[in-house]
Amino acid sequence: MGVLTVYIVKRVLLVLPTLIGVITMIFFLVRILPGDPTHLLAGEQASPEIIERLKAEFGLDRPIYEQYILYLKSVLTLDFGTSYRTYTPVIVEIMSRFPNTVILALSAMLIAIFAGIALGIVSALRVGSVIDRAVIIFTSIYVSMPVFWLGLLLIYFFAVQLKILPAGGIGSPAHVILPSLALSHTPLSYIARITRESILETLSQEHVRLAIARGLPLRSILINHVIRNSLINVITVIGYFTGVLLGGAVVTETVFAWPGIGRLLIESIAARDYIMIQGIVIFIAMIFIFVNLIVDITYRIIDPRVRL
Amino acid sequence: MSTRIAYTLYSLARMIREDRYFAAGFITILVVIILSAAASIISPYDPYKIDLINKLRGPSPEHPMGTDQLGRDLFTRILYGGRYTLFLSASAVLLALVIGLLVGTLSGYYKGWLDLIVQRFVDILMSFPSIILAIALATMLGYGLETLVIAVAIAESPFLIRVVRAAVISIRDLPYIEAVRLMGYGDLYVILRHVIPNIMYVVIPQVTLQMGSAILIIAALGFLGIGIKPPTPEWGSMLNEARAYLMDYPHLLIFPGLMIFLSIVSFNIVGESLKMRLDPKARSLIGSRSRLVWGLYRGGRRGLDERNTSY
Amino acid sequence: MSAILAIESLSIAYQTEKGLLRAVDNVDLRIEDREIVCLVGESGSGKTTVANTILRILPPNAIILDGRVLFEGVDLLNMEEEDMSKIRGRKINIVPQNPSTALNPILNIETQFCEFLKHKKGIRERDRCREIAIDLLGRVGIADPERVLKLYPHQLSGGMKQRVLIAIAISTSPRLLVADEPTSMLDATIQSQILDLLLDINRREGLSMLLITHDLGVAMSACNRIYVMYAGEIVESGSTERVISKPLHPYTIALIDNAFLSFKSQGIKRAVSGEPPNLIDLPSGCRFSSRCPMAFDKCVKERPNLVQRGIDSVRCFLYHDASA
Repeated sequence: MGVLTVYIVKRVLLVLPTLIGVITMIFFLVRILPGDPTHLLAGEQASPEIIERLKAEFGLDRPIYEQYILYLKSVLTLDFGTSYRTYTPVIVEIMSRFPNTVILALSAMLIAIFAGIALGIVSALRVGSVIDRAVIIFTSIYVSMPVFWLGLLLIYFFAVQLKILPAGGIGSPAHVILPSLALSHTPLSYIARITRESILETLSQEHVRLAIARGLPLRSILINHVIRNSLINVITVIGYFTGVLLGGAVVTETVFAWPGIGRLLIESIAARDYIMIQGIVIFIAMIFIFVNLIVDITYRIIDPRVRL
Repeated sequence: MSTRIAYTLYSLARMIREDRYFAAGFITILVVIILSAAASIISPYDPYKIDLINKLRGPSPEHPMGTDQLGRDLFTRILYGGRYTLFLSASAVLLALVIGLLVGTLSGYYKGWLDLIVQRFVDILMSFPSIILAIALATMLGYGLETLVIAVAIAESPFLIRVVRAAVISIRDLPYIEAVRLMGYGDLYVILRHVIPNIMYVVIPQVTLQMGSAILIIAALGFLGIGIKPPTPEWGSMLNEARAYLMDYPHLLIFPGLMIFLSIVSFNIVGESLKMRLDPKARSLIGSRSRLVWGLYRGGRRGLDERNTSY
Repeated sequence: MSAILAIESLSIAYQTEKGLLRAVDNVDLRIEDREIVCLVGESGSGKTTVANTILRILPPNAIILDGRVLFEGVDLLNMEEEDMSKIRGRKINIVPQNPSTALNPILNIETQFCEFLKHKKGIRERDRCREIAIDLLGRVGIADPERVLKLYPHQLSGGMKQRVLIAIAISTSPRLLVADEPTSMLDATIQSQILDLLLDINRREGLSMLLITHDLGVAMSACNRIYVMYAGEIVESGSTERVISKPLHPYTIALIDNAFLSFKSQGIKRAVSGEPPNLIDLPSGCRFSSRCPMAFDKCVKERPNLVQRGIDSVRCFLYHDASA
C-alpha cells in the first residue's frame, strides 16, 4: 500500500469521529434544552397525535442512550426524519433544493477563482505599483462588504435602475449572475490576496533566482516556476470556500429568493420546523466535512512535497 | 500598572501618527461608538416614535438620512442601532475571548488528553460555516439577547481557541517560563503572570479581526429575522425591513448598510495593522517583501543618478 | 593563454536607507582558459556580488559605479538584456550555493532538465532530452539516472541535488562555470566528493571556473589561482601554491592560520578577531587596519594600492617599498 493510500485511509477515518461529534452535539442540543423535546421538534401547537407519533418515531419513550444510538444510526444513513410542515422526508426536501445551491456555489467560485487569481497575479507582478495598491485596497473593502448589503445594492443598480438583470428567483442563466456575483465577493478577495502573497514568496525563492541566472525566458519562469508553484497554496483556499459556499449561502439565497438549502433553512426556521432545521444543519456540516476531506487529499496528490 | 496604561496610550498615539490606515480605522470606530453612546443627546427624535404622516421621506435638514416606512427618523435609528449591533458584537467577542483564553491556555499549557479532547471539540465546531453554527445555536437556544450573544460567541470561539493554543505552545517551554516554574511558582501564577501577558501580541489583533466577523454575523442574523427583531433598531434588521421599499427609497438601504460596512472594514483594518505591528512573524514577512520588486534580479543601473547621462 | 573572463576596475554599490553601501570596490580579476580561479573572503566581502555581476542578476538597488566585465572580449555590462539572457545558461552557467532550494520543489528532475534543454539547446523531443539527461547524470556520478529523473527534489539528498544541478549546468558545454559556495551547505564527506567532481569536470569538459568560497581549505585543494577579497577589495592574489605557502597580506596570513587551526581542532573555527569595516562609512586608511596585528600609523591614514608583481598582487603598505 502506498504512502498516499495510507494517508487517505487515515484522513477518512479521522472524519468519522468529527461527524459523530457533530451529530452528538445536535442530538444533545435539542434534548438538554428546557421543555419537552417533542414540542421543540414538532412546534408549540402540535396536536397530541403528532406528539405521540413523534415519540414513537424518535423512540422518545425509551432510555436516552437507546435514543442516541437510534438517532446516530438513522442520521448516518441520511434519514433525517419527516418534516411536519410538508409531510415529506427531510432528505427528499434537501435533495430537491441542493442542486440549486450547487449551481450557485459553483458559479460564484468560478467568478472568484478567475477574477481572484487574475487580480492576485497582476498585483504581485507589479508589487508596489498603483495597480498593486488598488488591488489591495479594493480587496480589503470588498471583503468587508456584508453580502446582504452587497446583494441589495446589486439588485438596486442592475434590476431596479438599469433593469438588465432579474432581481431574484430562478429560471434562466441570467438569474444566476447577480447572486453569484454577490456570493463570490469573499472568496474572490481571499483568493486574490493569497495568490499575491504566494507569488511574492515564490519570487524570492532561490530556485527562481537560479532560473533567471540560467537565462530561462521570463515567460517560462513566470508560468512554470512562479505562478505554478504559487497556485498550489491557492487550492486550499479555493477548497475551503467551496465548502463554505455549498453550506453557508443562507444570506445570499435569502436576498435573491434563490431556492437552495440555505433558503430552505430560513423557511424552516420561520415555520419552526425543527426536524427540518436539524436535518439541514447536519447535512451542511456533512458537506463541509466532505469538501474539506477532498481538498486535503487533492492537496496531497498535487503537491509533491507533501506527497511522500 | 499606570505606567503600562501610559505606555499603551503612547504606542497607540504613535501608531495613529505613523500608520494612516490604522488611524482612519481607529477613528472611525471611535466616532461610531461615541455617536451611538450619545444617541439620546445628539438626536431629538425617539427611535420608536411612529409618525405616519412623515413616512418614507428622503434626506432633508430635519431628517439627515430621511425617515423609514413608519416615519421614524432613520439617523436616530441608526445611532440607537449602533448600540445594539456594536454592543452585542462586542459582548459576543468578549465572551469568545474568555472561552478562547480559558480553553486555549489550558489545552496548550497542559497538552495531553485535555488537549486532545479540546482539539476534537474545536474540529466539531469548525465543521460548520460560522454563520450556520450561529443560526443553529440561536434557533435551538431560543430567542433573546443573551442567547444571541452566546450563539455568536460560540461560533467565534474556535478561531480564538486555536490562536491562543498555538501561541501558548510556542512559549510554554521557553527557558524563562521554565525558570519561573523551577523557582517553585504554581501553574496558575505562571499562566496568569507570564503566559497570558506574553501571548497578547497574537490575541489582540485576532480579537479585533473577530469583532469584524461578529458584527457581520449579528447583522446577518438580524437581516434573516433570527437575531434582533423589529421594532428594535439593529442595522441588519433595519436592512431587512428596507427590502420591501428597495424600489423607490434607496436611502433606507444605503445608510444602515454603510454603517455595517464601515464598522467591519474599520475593525479589519485596525486588526491587520495591529497584527503587522505586534506580531514579529507578520512583520518580518512584510519587511522582506517590501524590498522585492519583480525584475528583482535585473538591477544594476550604470552609475549614480547624477552621472547617468552617459548611458 | 587568452582570458575567458576579465573583470576590470569593477565597483558596485547598493543603495540603502543609510546611504551608499560600497560592496565591490575597484576589483580586477582574470580567468584564463581552462583555469579554476578561487575568490576567497568572509561573508559580506563582496564575492557574491562579483558573481552576480558576471551573470548580471543584481538586485534592483545595485548600482554599477564603474568597470567592465569582459567575457571573451565583450563587455557584459553593456549588453542588451536579450543578448545577456542568451549568454546565461549557454556560455556562462551557475552552480548554486544551496542545492536544497535551487530546484523547483513541485517539478520532477526530468521536467526541470528538459525545460532547460528546450530553451537553451532547442531540444523539444522528450525522448531525446531524456537520453541527454541520462548521459549527463551518469557523467556527474549518479548511478541510476533513469530513476533519479522521475524523482522530485525532496526525494534526493543534498549531494545528489548538487550533482543534478552540476549536470544541468554543464549540459550546454559552457565556457565558464560560476560556482558560488557550491559545497558550503553540504556534509563534510559530500563536500570533497562534489569538489572532486568539479575538478574532474574542469579537466574533462575543458571549461573555466570561478569558485567562490569562504573556506581556504576548499580553495587550496581546487584552484589554480586565488584572489582574496576583504571589504569589497582584492587584498591579495597569486598562484594557490604561493598564496598558501607564502602569504603576504596580514589578512591572508590570518585566514591560513585559521584554516590550519580548524583542521587541527576538528572544525572549531575562530574568525579573524574583530569586525570588518562598515561599507557605508568606510575608514580613510587601509580597510583591514582596525584588525591588523601589524598595522602602523600610515595604515590608518592612507589607503594602500594594489601592488602587482607578475601574477601576484597585494594591497598592503608592508610591501610598498619593495615594489617602488
